[in-house]
Formats: sequence, C-alpha cells, structure tokens
Amino acid sequence: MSAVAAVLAGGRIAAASASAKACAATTAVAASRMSLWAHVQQGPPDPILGLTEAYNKDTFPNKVNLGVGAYRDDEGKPHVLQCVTEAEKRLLDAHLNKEYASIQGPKDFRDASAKLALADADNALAEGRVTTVQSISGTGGLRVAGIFLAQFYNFPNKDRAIYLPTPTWSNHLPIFRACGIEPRTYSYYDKNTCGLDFKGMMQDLDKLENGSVVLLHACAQNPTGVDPTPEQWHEIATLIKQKNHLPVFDMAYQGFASGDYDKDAYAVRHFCEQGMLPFVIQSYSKNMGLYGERVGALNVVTTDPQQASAIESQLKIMIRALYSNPPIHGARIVATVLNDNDLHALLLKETHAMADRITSMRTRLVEELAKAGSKLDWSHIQRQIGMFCFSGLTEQEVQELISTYHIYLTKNGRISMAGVSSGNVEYLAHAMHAVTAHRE
Amino acid sequence: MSTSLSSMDHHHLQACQEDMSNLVMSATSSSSSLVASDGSTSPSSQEEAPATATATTQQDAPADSGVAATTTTTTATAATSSSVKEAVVASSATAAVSDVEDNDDADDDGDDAKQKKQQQQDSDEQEPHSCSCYRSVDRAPPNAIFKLQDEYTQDEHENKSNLVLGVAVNDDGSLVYFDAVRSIEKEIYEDTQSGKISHGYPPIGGLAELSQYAAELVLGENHTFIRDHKVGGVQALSGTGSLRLVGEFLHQYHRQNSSVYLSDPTWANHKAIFTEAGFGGAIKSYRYYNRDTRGLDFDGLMEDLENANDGDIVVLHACAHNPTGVDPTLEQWTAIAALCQRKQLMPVFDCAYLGFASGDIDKDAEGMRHFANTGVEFFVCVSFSKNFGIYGQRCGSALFVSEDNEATANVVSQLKRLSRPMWSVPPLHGARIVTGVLGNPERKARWRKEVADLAERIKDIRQRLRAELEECTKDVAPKGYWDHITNQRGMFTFSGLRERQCEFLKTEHNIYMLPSGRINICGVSSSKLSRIASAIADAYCKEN
Repeated sequence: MSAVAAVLAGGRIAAASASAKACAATTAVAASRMSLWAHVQQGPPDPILGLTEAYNKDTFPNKVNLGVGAYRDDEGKPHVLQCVTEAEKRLLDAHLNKEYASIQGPKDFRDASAKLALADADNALAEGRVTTVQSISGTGGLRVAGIFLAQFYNFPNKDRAIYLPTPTWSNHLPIFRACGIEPRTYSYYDKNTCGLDFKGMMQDLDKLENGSVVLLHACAQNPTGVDPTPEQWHEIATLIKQKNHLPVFDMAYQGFASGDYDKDAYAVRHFCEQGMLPFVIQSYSKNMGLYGERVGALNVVTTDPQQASAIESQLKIMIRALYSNPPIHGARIVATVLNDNDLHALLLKETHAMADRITSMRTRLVEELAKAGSKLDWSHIQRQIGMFCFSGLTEQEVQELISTYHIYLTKNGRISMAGVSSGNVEYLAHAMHAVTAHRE
Repeated sequence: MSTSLSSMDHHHLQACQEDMSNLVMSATSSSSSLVASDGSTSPSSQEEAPATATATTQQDAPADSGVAATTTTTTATAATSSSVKEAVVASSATAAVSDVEDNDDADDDGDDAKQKKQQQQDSDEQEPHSCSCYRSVDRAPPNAIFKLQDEYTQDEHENKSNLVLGVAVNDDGSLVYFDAVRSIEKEIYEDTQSGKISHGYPPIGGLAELSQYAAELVLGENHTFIRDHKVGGVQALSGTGSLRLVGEFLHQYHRQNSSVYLSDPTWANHKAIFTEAGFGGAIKSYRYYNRDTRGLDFDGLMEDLENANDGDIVVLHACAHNPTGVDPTLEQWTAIAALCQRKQLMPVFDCAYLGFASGDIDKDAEGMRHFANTGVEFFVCVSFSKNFGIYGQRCGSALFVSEDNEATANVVSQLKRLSRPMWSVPPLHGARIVTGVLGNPERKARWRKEVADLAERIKDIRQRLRAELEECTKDVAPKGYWDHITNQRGMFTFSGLRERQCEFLKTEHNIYMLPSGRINICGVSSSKLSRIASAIADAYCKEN
C-alpha cells in the first residue's frame, strides 16, 4: 500500500508537506502539493476501444470491423430511420420547449412504450397495473431496476443476488454490483452446439432458491445470438412461475431480432399471460437507431393500480437522486413515431428491413463458407438471431483473423453481423475457412 | 464509509412530510426511522425553514417536480472498498468499453445456485397473480413542490403569480429559449438529415469537446491548466448526474469515513444524491445563510468548516446560490480556499448558474478560478440546463481540477468507468447543442450576450422590487432591510419571509412561493411586480 493510501486510510490526513515528502518516492510528480488522488490508478484499458483503434490504424484496403455495436447498412454506414427523421422534423417545427420532462418522462412516451412491449398481455395495461418510467436506455433501466430491487425486494435469503445467463452483456455485472446486488450465473450457452444449453439452464434455474431474481434476455441474446424457442420459453416460464422467481427481462432488441415486434416480445407477454409480474427493460437504441439519445423504459408489471402507483412513486425518488429527470429529445422522437399511425407503420417496416439484412447476411455467410470449401457445420450462424453471432472461433483463430486477414472481432469469437455486408461476406467466409481448416 | 449491504432489516426511508406513520418499508424492516442522515431527528423536509440543511429544489419542473426527500441509507455504489487493487480487479472484469454493446469474456465466475430450498410464502396462493413481493411498498409521500405547483395551476384567481418555478422565464412567462440554441438545433437537424451526423453512440464520457468547453467556461479559455491537462472531465446528465457521479467516485476513492458538508440551506436534492452515493449518515451541514442579515454567515461557515475533519468533502455553490442567492465575495472565497487547502478538504462545486449571478461568466467563475490558481484540487459539477435553457436535455459536465495532471487523467478514467453502470454513455442531443454553440466563436459570443441580457433583466427586477418594497414598508421596516433583494444574485432570492407568511401570501394574495421564502425573480413579471411587492409588504407588516 502506498504511503499516501496508508495515510488516507488512517483517517486523518497528515499536513500537506509531510504527505508530500512521504509521497515523493511513490510518484514522479514534483508538484509542491501531492494530489489526494495519487492512489487512483488509470482505469483498465478498453478492449473494444483497442480493437477499434487497431482497426482504424490498419491500412489494409479490405479490412473488416466485426466489433461494431451499432447497426450498419450494406455500405457500412450508420442508418438513420426515415420515421425518426420525419419525427424530428415535426418536433423542430413544433418549437417545443426544452422544459424539464417529469421525473418519469412524458406520458405519451410511457404509454406508447409500454404498449409496444406488452400489448394486451394479461390485460395488464388496461387494468392500469403497469408502472412505466422513462429510462436512460437499457443501462439506465437496469440500474433503476437494480436500485429498486435492492431496496424493496424480498430476496430469498440474506444474499442479494441476480442470476444472469452465461455469457451475458458485460455491463450487467457492474450495473447490479453498483446496486449492491451480486451477479451470479445460470447455464445458457452450449459451446458444443453453439446453441442453447436448455437442460443446463432449466437445471440451474430449478436449483435456485424460490423467489430468486432471474435476468432473461427477451430476444436476440447478447452476446451469443442464441434464443430459446417458443416451446422452450413455455417450459422456462412454467419453471420460473413454479419457483416463484422474479423475471427481469432485458429487451434491447425488440423488432430487431426477427423483424417483428410482437414476435420478439413473445416471451415477455407469455410470462405476463401466465400471471407473473416481470420487470421489462426496453431500449430504443437499436430498433429505432437512437443509440446516443439514450431512450428506454423500465416497466414493472404489478398486481393492481395502487401498487403500480406506489412503485412509480418510489422509482421517482431513485431517479431524482441519479439524474433528476430523463432527457426528452429521444423520448419525444419515440412518442411521435409510436403515436402516429403512418410513422408507426413505417417504423415496423424499417426495423424489419434492418433485421432482414442481418438475417440475409447470416444466410450468405453460411453459403459462402460452404462455397469456400469449409466442411464444418456453420448452421448455428443461421440459427442465432440478432446483431451478434457467437461464431465458435477459438481465441487463436480469432487472432489469426486479425493479424493475417485484418478482420477485427473480440477474442470470444463474437461477430457483429452489422459489420458484415455483401461487399465483404465472401472475403470473411474465405478467411474464416482458412483459419478453421485445420479442424477438418 | 462502509455501506450497509447486509440485511433488509435496516432500510430507512426519509420522506418529505412530517407524518411518517404511513411509511413502512419492507415487511422485514424493524422500524421506519425518521433519523435524517446527518443525525438530526427532524425529517428532511422541503417545507422546512432555512435553518435545516434541506430546502428547496433546484429543478422545480412545473409539471412533476421531484420528491426531494432522500431515500435509504443502503448503498447504490459499486465495490465498497476504496482500495485501488479491488477497483482495478472489479473494473477489469467489466472493462470500460467504448462500444457499449461489447462484451469482453463475460463467462464470468458466478457460483452455482445453492442447494437449500425455501418455503413458498403462504400468501402466494391467495393472489390471482404471482405473489407480488411489493405489497409492502407504500406510496411515497407526494412531493410538496409538486403539490404547490398543482395548487397554483388550479387556482382561478386572475392575478395569481407563480414564484415557485425553478426555470428561467421571460416577462410573459414563457420559457427562455436562446437564439443561439435555436439556430444550432436547426443545424443539428439538417446535419442529421443530410447524413453528416447520426444518432450513433458518443464515446464513454460523452463528447470530448463538451468537457473541453466546460473546462474553458470554468477556468477561462486561456488558462494554462487546459493546455497542461490539469483539468479533465466527462459529460454527465446535467448537474444531478454530475454530482451523483462525483459522489460515487468520492465514495469509492476518497478517504474512508469522510463526511460531506452541505450548505445550510442548500438545494434539497444534494442530500438525496450524496446519500444514494453512499454517504448516508455522513452528511453534515455548514452554516451559510444568516437570517438576520439575509446574507452570508461567513464566520459561521468558516467555523463549521474549520471543525470538519481534515479531508472531508464540502459542496460549494459556485455562484448564484440556490436557494438563497447569497454568494461569498472574492475575498471570502480566498479565505475559504485557504481553509480548504490547509485542511485538505475536497471541494465539490455545484456550478448550475454560471452567468446568472453577475451576467459575466468569467466574473461568476472567479471563486473557482481562485481555487485553481492557489493549487487546491477540486471537482466542478457543471449544469448547462439554466444557462443554455436546455433543461430537458440533461447536459452537464463533471470536471476535476488538479495540478497533478496524471491524477487528473486517472480520475477521469474512473469517472468514465463509474458512468458505465449508470447510463453507459450520456445523451447526445444536449451535448451537441452546447458544443455547437461554444465551439463557434460567433455563436458563443451571441450566447454570452443572451445570458448577460437575462442576468441584466433579473437585476432590473430586483432593483424595482426592492424599491417598491422599501416604499411600501417605509414606515415600518428599518433602513436597508430590503437590501438583500439586490445583494442576492441569480434567479432565486430568499425573500426573508417565514413559512406562515408564505402561506399567507398564497391564501390571501394568490402568490405562490416556496415555504422557505424562496422566490424565482424571473417569475416576477413587470405587470405584477407592484402587486407582488405590496403583498410581500403586507405579509411583512403582519409580523412587524
């Protein structure tokens, strides 16, 4: 422990000059007054940033970036939805003020968002028993959910834990830790099949104490792209209901997985229909391309309107202490689109088109791999769904893709399908075949 | 300070009403304690007279303003240990990534579920739906300010006045919307349309330019600290988000068992923010407002900070103090800075009204600049809500200033890491507005003038209000009694009225203000100024 840290931990900080002398050896700073923060180290290097930087520096003409986390069109460009542009035009013309939104966000946004997620599942919305608050996209929704659970949920025992699939979006862990909830895992991905370890998942969920908090990806699981089938969802729901677990759905890709908003919300709505009271966190980053505007919603299905109202009042207290009230720009865009028949229809079309492009790239990649001569079974690429694909490539194979072929992806073999286009799919297939040929 | 992660039995809810009897937390909680986190037993109430540490909200949205009450003392922070090693391990397991969708190898540790089972709760069978675990969640008490706003809206009196507002309005009551902002919004739209820009993710920490420009506003464009990277920051969700982020950083990295000192009074949300950041139970106040002079209790302030433990954290308002409008002079700032340096107190400046106090950004920042120039390390939580009139966009900046530029870089990297589990990346639109204005010399100049004009209007209202008050009370009030109306600065003023007088103004004159006596000067329209002055005089006379 550095001298400074020891001094700080001791309680009273020594006089400036004394600590400066004590610290002179620990840092190279010659400042007359030692920073109180000399013990703060540089945050960890950012793997994706490193990947992106390497990609950017690479001068190879046919380089491919498979680490991109946002949708790209077939030319590799970011895509702004027409319905969004039209909504923005209307908002500009409306000369709306920049007044604060209410803590829970605009009502027209909340109502439309809840409807998009839940439709008429179990009549919950009509009965007024759903709490909906605007959130800072998915992250913010999960964070507020976590704070709420930490404070109000009757965890089965002294541990406060949430169970996450293995693997899961890496940000899930720090989010729940920040709330004082320990992230634990349940089996999910089967490396052998590059598919769902359904048996393992069911076993693990069954082993948990009744009333455990279980996080589920509603669709287009991140990072694997592996989703349960509807039949599997039925079984999962039955088990979770029987165990009285609390389901928390992270729904970041509604519409973006299959192209159909209702289909992608099937699991969420099914759980409601079975009488369960899930949390449903929505993000409009991908399906409406609003990434940077940070639009999302946290929905809590409750037993009755009084409870919904009580929960809303508590969520507002938590939000107030985080950021007071949410950013209105993105919420207004979403509300404008969802509440206008034409724009809503256009949105459905446009999201479908994005999903279709992804799906077609999956198909093409598998075809090109076969054409390139690969004898391996790549069908999981087509079975998986959404932005990401767990290719099954080993770390070594990934390294070779990067260094030899200038194709950039994370070492877990995750491919962002958004980075695949008709212009590079052939090249990608050839490269993937080349680095995996040794397996045949 | 250690955070109470343990049992559910110790949840405490602080509410903003005096009657707590209807507040029960979880079914297992032993008591709903009313102990405020500073140890006092009075509930932290928005209606409290200025003597308490919590007063009024800074962002009183006309619709639904916040519940300013603090919540529980349970933590909302990450690793409770402030040791660097743990922080690094924790953060490397999660990795602060710029691509927010990325996973590193998240095949994490994670225990298998335990073997023991637990009995189903009896009540499960009785509910038509799965047993809700929130039957014990009670409705939080309604927010007092919201109620007040509501009453105002429903009041049918033709000459009613809303002085409760937390936003800057024009003389006609419309929200101030700067031309500089209007023009940049149009440009942002056109650039999005043409494909020049998109809604893609900004980097973690937000737009780099935003931190840069925020630093320039705070320290001055040509300050050497900027060139030498002795100031750095991240974009955050306005003032609240910046404070919360800094609070979480301090909780993890600052000396354990530090207290956070808030001015008495201060913006009510300060207490909630720092409580949720993990400082519950360690929040104290320093004297600030002198009721007799309606000015600064400088001696009290210095004495209270002197009695703080070395290394404690102190939240200072950079200018245009909310709710009192009372600011230290430069001389007083100098003394405060020296004290902070000597006792190694960690200042956190709440900087939400830059430009509102004097009309001149540089003048308003002189306190902070003095701190920087005398080598004090400090944080600044900047809000662009008021001085850009972009309240709903939630744009702000959390800055750190230190002569040790390596420390600055490290602190900024940790602020980025801490923002990941809060909002991943901050919202784009507001940042584009601010950087679009501040990054263009012509727009920036225009904006500075618009802020100056607004401040000028505020000063003008103050002068007229004071003159009328003096006239109305010339036979009863001592000479100079109403000086504070012009001595105080910024959007808000502590009128000097007590709670019962405020109530009287509401019921007899349909003039609405916070029970603390705080009024929003912008809300004093020229058409109603005389009426308001005579009403306040009336209230004054009733007591004197």
